[in-house]
Amino acid sequence: MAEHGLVQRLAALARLELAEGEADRLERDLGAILEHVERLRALPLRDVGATYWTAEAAQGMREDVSRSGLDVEDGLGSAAARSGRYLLVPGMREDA
Amino acid sequence: MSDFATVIGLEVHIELQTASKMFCSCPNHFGDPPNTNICPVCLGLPGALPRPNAAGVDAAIRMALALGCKVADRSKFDRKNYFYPDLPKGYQISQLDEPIGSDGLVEVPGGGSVRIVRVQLEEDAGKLQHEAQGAVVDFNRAGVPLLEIVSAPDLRSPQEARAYWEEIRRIALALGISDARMEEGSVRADANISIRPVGSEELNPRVEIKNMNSFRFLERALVYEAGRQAEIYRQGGRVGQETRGWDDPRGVTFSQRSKEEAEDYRYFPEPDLLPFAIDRQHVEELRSSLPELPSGRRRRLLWLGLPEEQVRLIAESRGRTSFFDAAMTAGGEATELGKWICGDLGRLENDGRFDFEEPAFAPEELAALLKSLAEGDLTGPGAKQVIQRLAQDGGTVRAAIAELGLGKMDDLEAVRAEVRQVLEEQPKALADLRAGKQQVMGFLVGQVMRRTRGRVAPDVASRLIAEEVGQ
Repeated sequence: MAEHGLVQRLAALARLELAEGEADRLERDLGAILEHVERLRALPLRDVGATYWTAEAAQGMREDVSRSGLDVEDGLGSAAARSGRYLLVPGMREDA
Repeated sequence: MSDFATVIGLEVHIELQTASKMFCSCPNHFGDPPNTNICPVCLGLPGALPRPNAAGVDAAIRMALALGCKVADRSKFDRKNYFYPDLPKGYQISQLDEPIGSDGLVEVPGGGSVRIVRVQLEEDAGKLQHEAQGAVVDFNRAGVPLLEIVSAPDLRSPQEARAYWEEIRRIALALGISDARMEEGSVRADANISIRPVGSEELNPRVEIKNMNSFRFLERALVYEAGRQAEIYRQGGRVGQETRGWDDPRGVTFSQRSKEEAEDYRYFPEPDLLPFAIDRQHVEELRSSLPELPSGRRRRLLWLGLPEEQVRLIAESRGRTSFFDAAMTAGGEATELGKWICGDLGRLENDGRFDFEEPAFAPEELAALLKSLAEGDLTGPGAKQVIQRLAQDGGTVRAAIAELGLGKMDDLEAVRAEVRQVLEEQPKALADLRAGKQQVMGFLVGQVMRRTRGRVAPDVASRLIAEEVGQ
């Protein structure tokens, strides 16, 4: 079983609001997944890296050449609020 | 503070000077009108895919090498998720567990060695300005390549933290990977600071002071914060792990938010980018093309016999160092060059009348000037006039001497005529000299120099005056 606190923490990180009873169900589901992972840990996987990607290809790089992109009207045309050439957002002074 | 020791680690951010942004082709250019350099990728529009800039990766590798780091064989990008209006995608492409460089070491001038934990590549956020009606956002900076250099908590004082940061900036300048302009925010730092009883090895909860863009602010903020924490411990309290800002006008740090843990950022491997291999041969090519670093310059200049103050002044600037080197290659003597570069030319530079990066005259001319001085073709005061002229108009020492009429007067009889003229005009001084007052000799020599605009060597003037008065 997954701990109750863990589910609440994951819900907060995922910005999920859990309805009545949902946390219990998720706890059971998560518990089953973790049990399965525990079983996999018995395998000798020390030399096997994490599989983040299924493709073996390596990322290609781009030459450092600049070109202009979008005009300000095209780029910010659908913005909810503007102030001249700027995007306007509600004031937030957390870092001030 | 004497009963507490300070433990500081620094995260230095350096904007890279590439032509284009890190993951799109938008120009990376400071100072353009707001939202000029934007495209679907750096605005995070649906369906847009990033593509890494090879020059950004190379710059990160070069910095890692300059800091003595191991360069990874394979590296990858990760998503750091957080919500803020200057981050249009809702996440920053950064590096979590496979940074480009790790485990380096840097020498801090006047301090100890500082371990480098990691050198990672990421993208900058846009710029948010707070205004009366809300906040306005400019995305020109969003996606600009950013290096993050994380030190171990090896710094033991605010002064050492500052010296370390200055050295990192000098290294970036020497590598030419950033313009490192403080006033444009190209170099910024977050500092982690905790204190502990002297002799203790335990690490107490640390406070992070975020986003400082001036060496002076950093030093002041750390001095204040160490004092604040000491006061809390003295009163039996506990310091909480948190993020604080620095209010320079008030001279205090202030609480911003409780510190995030890595999990708050919900990191995961960037699904839009594949891992990339770093070719060993390419790394070795980059290593062999590294320029001389500031620490190497300092050692070399000290070895050449320059005084420490001149060593510091010359070594901190790529322009001054290359000017010095070129003039020395042309035959200039090191200590004399040091005097001129930190003296007359340094003053002209401070006045904005000379630029070592783009000098108005070739460094070889400084060597030529020293030669003319040494061979007696030019007097000291004349040389100063020549330097002024070269800094202003460029050209050669030879031409400047001719144009200014500063060539040393070779004709001894012509000099003697000038000396006689001076003595005629200064009967009192002449009488004093005849009466044995040797101290007026300096005055008379000065008068001869003035009449001849420095074209007579002082010792020649002095000898002829003595002859004229029959001494």
